[in-house]
Amino acid sequence: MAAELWEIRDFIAEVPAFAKLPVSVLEGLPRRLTVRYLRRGYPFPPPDAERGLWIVRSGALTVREADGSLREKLAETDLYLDAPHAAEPESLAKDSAETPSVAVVEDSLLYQLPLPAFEELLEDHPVFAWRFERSRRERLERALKELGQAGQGSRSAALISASVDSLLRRAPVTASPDTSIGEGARIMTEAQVSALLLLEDGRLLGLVTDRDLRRRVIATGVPVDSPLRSIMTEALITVPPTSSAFEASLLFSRHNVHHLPVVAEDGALVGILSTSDLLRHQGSHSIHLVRDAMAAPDLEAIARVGSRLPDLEAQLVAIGADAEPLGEAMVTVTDAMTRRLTELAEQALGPAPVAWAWAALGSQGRREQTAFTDQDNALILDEAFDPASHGEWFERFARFVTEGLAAAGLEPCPGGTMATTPDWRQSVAGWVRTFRDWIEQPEPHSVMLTTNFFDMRVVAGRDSLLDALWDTVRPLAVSNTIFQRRLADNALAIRMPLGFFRRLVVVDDEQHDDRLDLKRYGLMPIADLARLHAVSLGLAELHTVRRLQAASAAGDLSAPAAAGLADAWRLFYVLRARHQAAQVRRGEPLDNRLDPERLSGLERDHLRDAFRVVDDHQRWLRAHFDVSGTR
Amino acid sequence: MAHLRLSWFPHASWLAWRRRYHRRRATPDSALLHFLDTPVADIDADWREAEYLVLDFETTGLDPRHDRLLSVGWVGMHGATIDLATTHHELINPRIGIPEQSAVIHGITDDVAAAGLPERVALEQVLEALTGRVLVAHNARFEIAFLNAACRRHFGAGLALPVIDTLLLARQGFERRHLHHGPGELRLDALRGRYHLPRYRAHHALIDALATAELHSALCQDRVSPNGRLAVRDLLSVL
Repeated sequence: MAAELWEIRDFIAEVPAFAKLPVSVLEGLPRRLTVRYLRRGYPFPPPDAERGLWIVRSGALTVREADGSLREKLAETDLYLDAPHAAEPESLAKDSAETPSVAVVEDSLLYQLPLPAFEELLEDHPVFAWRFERSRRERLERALKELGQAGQGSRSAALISASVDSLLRRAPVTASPDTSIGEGARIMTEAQVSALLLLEDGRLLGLVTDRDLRRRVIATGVPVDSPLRSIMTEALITVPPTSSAFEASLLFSRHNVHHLPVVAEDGALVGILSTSDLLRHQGSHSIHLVRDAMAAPDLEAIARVGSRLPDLEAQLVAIGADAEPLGEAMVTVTDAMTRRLTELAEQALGPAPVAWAWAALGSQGRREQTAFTDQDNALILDEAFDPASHGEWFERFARFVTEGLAAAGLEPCPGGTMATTPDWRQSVAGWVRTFRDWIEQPEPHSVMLTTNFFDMRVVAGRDSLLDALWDTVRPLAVSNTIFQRRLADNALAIRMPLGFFRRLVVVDDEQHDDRLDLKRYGLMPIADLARLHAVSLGLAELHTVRRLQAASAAGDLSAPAAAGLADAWRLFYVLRARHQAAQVRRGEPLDNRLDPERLSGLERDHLRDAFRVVDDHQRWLRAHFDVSGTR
Repeated sequence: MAHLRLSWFPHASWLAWRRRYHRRRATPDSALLHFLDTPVADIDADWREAEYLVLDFETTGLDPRHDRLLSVGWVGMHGATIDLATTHHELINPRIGIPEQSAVIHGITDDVAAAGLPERVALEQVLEALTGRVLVAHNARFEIAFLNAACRRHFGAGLALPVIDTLLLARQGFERRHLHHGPGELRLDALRGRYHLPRYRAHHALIDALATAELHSALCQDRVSPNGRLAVRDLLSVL
């Protein structure tokens, strides 16, 4: 019998909320529905209708809050729940508890699942109930898991899922730190290993590698009967056996090491992982790129590395990489290119007249960049910097590096936020003055600049220069509530879209966009919120997710709110990376503008949840900072 | 005279007279007699309170005397609400060969139809479903002609009941607005397009019945505002 209602069954199967129901349930569903045709302007819900879940088959409706502001526009496959469940449990906005008003704005054909049948589905099918009973945050968390799994169909999936201990080939070769260098070398030769782990009382103390023997023994003439302790590397970077091979590959790249001791949480040594262990695995693309960048003899070689960044992003998307490791991989390569460029610059220009630190700002600074990015950078110079005598060297240095980055595909910043601008090439004291002006006399332009400069991170040169700057600047911002308010104004300037209507992004009553700008309407507002919290608290964290977590730990933000914002950020980030990966495949230039037509119904649902999570937090902050919101 | 619909027409007494006429001729103890003995739907009710059965047939051809029913589909409406729980679809064994020119339209082949219900059983189901309801069909003349012919074959008499023809309602709509309309514009799918209803696969009895039900609701709302009153009698056709 139900087979004859395939017209309806096929349609229902496309509605995201129903899509995951078992086929047998989907088959029976059409017979539980009623159908209403409502002409434009017909009252909704119709006075003679029961309550239940409405499904738009064709036509359009608008839903408005009690104050008349648009809540959403409904079209084909969209839902409207006219039921006691309709109140969203976690909503912070008071007005959403009131009944919205709905208008039929186009002739519409609607299906309705009456309340008893709806409640039965909720009861029997958790996959269905999830959509209606869980909070947006829980739905987002689950959506991210599914997004990650969806990407793992490819052969390289093993790299993400393989844990570090599964890559270890042998028990670790160890010695006591008091063993002589000569004895250590014999142990290494017999065991055919390139690294020897030194244990004291069962705990890992240090590491000696082939390279150490070469550089610290032979080259310096240390006698071979000295203990290994005298030449070992301490303060080792280790990796837990449970972390993924992918995470390990990032550690190798970031710290430019070739061996990682694998140490369990209780401190027990499990083994040692080498880059060659990883290279036997597929997908260690970022390691290759970092190596190529570090060894690049000239600008052309750097440019070649840069030209492979989009491919790296596409490959990582294909294996289902999560947002943070993905951004980390992109940043690791970009940092390596930048570092190498500073080395090449010093080779070309001669040694620097004073100590310097090359800082990345913006998304590279926060370690969350993608293959499509502008370069934002600055130079922090030693106190001894004298513009008259040193200015020219640093100008040429900045030009060398920024031109190299541009050749590698990182477009120059259109706003000129680059080390080539004299204002962004200052001594620590100069920077402190600049920050003090911004913080004490905030005006719209300077507040915009601070959003970039508060994300500064040293990529090459002397780290301590920036540390000195932060030591002075961070307390200034923590104690200045007026500045924080200006930051809040800036963070709350962008209103999140309401959702989708057919092929359009609905921003508000007037503005409907044919593309979703994932940066403007997603990543940037969340990064702004996270920065606002971090700066107000004086936190050192840069990454948006880490800033949110730290703000939550400091009590500035509830744990569910932080987790919700973090998941929303991850969703936007992963969808942007996927969008760019698709552009790479199609041979198109990269951008952040997603065509809503390319989104599945489920992805639209997830994005709508993410928009609302951000919007809820913006509303809360608006009340907190008493920022008047105009839509 | 074929499409008479006049506000002064005495539908109730005309229906009562015809039902008495058929009752005298109907086979004793038949489903038809039971149908004719049960009171008809209240035609003075507002359109949003009436009970409808929206019906469609597929047939072996266009001649009610020689052609046979092949399938029947229907869906019930409580006022403006179409209730999919009431949908019904049945294949009917015509016991005659299906001409190719009709098979290409509805896609029902001899083999498929042979597995269908005997016409008499299907007809009994239709009469039961129609009891106390207003029949709605697109170009209802056709459905009524085949129903009458089948009832005469099996139960010795025709039937009489309140009927709404969505094709006639649509034509009246055009005429009320003094709009020119060609025959093509009165087709089910063309009219649905006019009211922004989605496109369905045509020539399946149940889907066509559902399509007609949605169109019926659209046509009624075309005639009367959401708060206005429109009696069923003002929608009836005399066939």
